[in-house]
Amino acid sequence: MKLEAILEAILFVSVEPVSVSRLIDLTGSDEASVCQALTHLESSLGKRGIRLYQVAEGYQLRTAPELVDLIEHVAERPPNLTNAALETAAIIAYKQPITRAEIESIRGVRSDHALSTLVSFGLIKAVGRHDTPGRPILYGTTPVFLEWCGLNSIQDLPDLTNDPDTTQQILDYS
Amino acid sequence: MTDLVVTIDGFDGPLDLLLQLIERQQMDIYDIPIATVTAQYLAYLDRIPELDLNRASSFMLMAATLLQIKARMLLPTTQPPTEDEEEDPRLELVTMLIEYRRYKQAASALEELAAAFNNSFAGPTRQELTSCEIQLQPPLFGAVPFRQALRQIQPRLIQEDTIIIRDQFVVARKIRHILKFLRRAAGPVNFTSLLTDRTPPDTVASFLAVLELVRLRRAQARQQTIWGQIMISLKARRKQREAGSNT
Repeated sequence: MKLEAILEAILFVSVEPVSVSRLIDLTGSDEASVCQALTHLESSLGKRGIRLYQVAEGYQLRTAPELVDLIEHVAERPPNLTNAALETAAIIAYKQPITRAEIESIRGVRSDHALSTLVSFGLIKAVGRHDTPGRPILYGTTPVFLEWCGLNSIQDLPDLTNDPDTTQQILDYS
Repeated sequence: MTDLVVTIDGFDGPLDLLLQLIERQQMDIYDIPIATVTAQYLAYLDRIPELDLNRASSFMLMAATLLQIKARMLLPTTQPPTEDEEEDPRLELVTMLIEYRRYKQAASALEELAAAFNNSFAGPTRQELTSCEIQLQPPLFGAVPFRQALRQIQPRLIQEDTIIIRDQFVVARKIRHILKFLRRAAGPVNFTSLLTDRTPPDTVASFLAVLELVRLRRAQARQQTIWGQIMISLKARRKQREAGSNT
């Protein structure tokens, strides 16, 4: 059977994004062949109901976005996060690893609830402890987070809006 | 003053509220009119119903901070500034607001990314991302067969209605029963043989009775090995009387 078809089957049954190295291991093939087969798969799925996506440092089969209005009656969407959870997730995404105290000093409010929500959805996790008194937990994003927002890696986060040097602006005005 | 319709619950904290005050009135964030903003912020806090304590403290802290900044800007400094430029009292707050705004915008961007990406769906729904509730399967069997099965395994459990026994009477009765038993017995008796039935209430009452008897020096209990048998025997009354008369 063609490698393309084999990959299709693996991705179908995996549901989660599968890395190229894992595909190489499973098929016994080499990187060049796997990548080429993936490219073929992507184009052959072009007009189909299932498409090939590159996300969370792997490949995943997902339904065609044009069908959203129909499919959302069949499958469940991820739930909407509150503003607090979204802000917390954004801070962690850009500044990880980061402690709860640091998150709270940016937001100006307590963030326990937001943190536990994000943990329960698997979007963030404890990645270690900060080497200061109290040894507070450090948080970071997970592959599930990448899958949620459709990014291939954390490096692909959009740039934060850049404000001109704050100090200079204030000095200019005073 | 622009009227803000949203209640305090619409704000994710004091920074959020401040930011919205500033933006809705198109104030220059780099040159915030502190007096105006403080007045509006305080007026706003007055208008909202009771906050819960958790959220109230952050909002109060911000109110105090704003007042402090305003005071510093109004009052002359006590010492001449040591550096060329005097630090603007608003600097720290503005830095915080700008930082917060960056992440607020980042959060919006992430939300949009997610919304777009989630127009496509992955396989059998990813459990983590949908709900935290554990879905219970409808029962494969009814309640009646289940109870029957339970009965077969542990008849004792479903015997009778639970009766809450008043402890002291049962233990007292047990003490009398155990003493009688011990007198009739030739030598040490195994604890388990003192039990009438093996139910937890009976076992507990019997054990308490034994402890009481040991305390009263009417009996003694020995356990040779850990988790081994507990042997109970009567303590000879004669020795007790002699010991008592010697003190």
